[in-house]
Amino acid sequence: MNRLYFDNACTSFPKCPGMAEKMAQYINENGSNINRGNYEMAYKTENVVFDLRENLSSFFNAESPRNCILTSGATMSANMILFGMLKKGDHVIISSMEHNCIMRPVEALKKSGVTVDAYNTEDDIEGLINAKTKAVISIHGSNVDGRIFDAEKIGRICKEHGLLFVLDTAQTAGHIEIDMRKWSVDALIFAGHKGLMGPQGIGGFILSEQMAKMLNPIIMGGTGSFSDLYDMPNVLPDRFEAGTLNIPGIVGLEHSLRYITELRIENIRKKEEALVNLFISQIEALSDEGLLEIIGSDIPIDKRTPIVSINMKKEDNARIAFELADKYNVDTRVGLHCAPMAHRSLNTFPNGTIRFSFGFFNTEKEILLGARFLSAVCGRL
Amino acid sequence: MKHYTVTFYSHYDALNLGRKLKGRKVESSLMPVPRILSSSCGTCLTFTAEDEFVFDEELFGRENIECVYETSGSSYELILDYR
Repeated sequence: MNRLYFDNACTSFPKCPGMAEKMAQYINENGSNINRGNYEMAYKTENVVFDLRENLSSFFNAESPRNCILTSGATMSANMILFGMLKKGDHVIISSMEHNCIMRPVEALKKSGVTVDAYNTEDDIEGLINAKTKAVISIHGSNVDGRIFDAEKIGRICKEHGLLFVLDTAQTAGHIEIDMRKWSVDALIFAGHKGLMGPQGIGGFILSEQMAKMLNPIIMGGTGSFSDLYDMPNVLPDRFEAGTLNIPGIVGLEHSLRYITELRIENIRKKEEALVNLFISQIEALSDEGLLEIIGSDIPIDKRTPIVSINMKKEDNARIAFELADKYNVDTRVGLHCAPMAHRSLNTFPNGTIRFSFGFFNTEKEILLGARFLSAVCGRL
Repeated sequence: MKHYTVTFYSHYDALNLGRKLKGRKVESSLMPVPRILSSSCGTCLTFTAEDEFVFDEELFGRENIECVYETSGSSYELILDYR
């Protein structure tokens, strides 16, 4: 039985066509580091990294390519921003749907005297602002029910109140249009291996000029520049890129971002919306029958990413997910999805949900088959 | 024609200037910074241009470069210094 891969919110698969070959070519035929050696192959690699920064800057409409910082992914980026920005006495506002990549750093910072409040809807934010509030830190798209927060509205509130705006786009980059400058985003966190179709282990963050001036580095080391000094350089991107970067990952992401740009986000969006609509329409009967609950079924299609979470009413979620995988080769993700706060907000804690997350390479036929197999494990075929 | 060597604060800036010069039909080369100029292990950029070449603010601004030297053999005459 062919594999049905519905775990794209975890990591996209398949990856962008040609990406693996590009990465293998770099490893087999070049292999040089950047910012260190002064020879042709090193310069060739530096040009790929330069291209990626330029393309990321354009893709997210950032202020400057030099402010695109490459890291191992969204989690490392979130840690670098939160620990580099906050100090004792600061207050921050987060959403009630945060992933642990924000929650765990925030929880650690609470122990050092940072205070935190959470909003349920964007309308709650202004009521939570106090004299110590420094930033709003928000997930853009939930990795549990797929809801998309209104980043433009949050950015407007932040601007009006002089707050920094940190946006986690791990679940939205590559799925919907994102505009840093229009939305007044000060720090945008992205993962390379999800909607951007790149390999695991590469991601980053992008800073506004204002944030670039105030953020402190938390990881120190060699940068290949200012080598005569013990302090980290003040110039970007070097200030936040100590040590050797994941260059095979950069080569892969540079390729996949180019692919997505040519494909155009609106085309990806159109297809993914159609897949979600189709899946929900196919499983609504199971919901009507009281066998399962579709989490966030009231979220409009244009306000959600290609994620559908369900909660079994009469069966154990883990057993159903296992049966889908074992009998029908359907890959989903069951549990809390590293987002206990989101599940608490949705009243699905601690049971969690079965999450179906689709991607651009899924087909209508796969969606229909997936819904049919779900019906089968529910005993309705 | 004159020969120039430009030093930078980062590799990013060196590549950036190389690309912008190319856009103005000026070919350049990246090379290690001569130790006589800096001990900062960086990359410099060398190029040859007409005598009337202008070091405008857009390409050679304080934010983007460290120094520009006019080069002749192994001698370097400092003509722009933002240190």
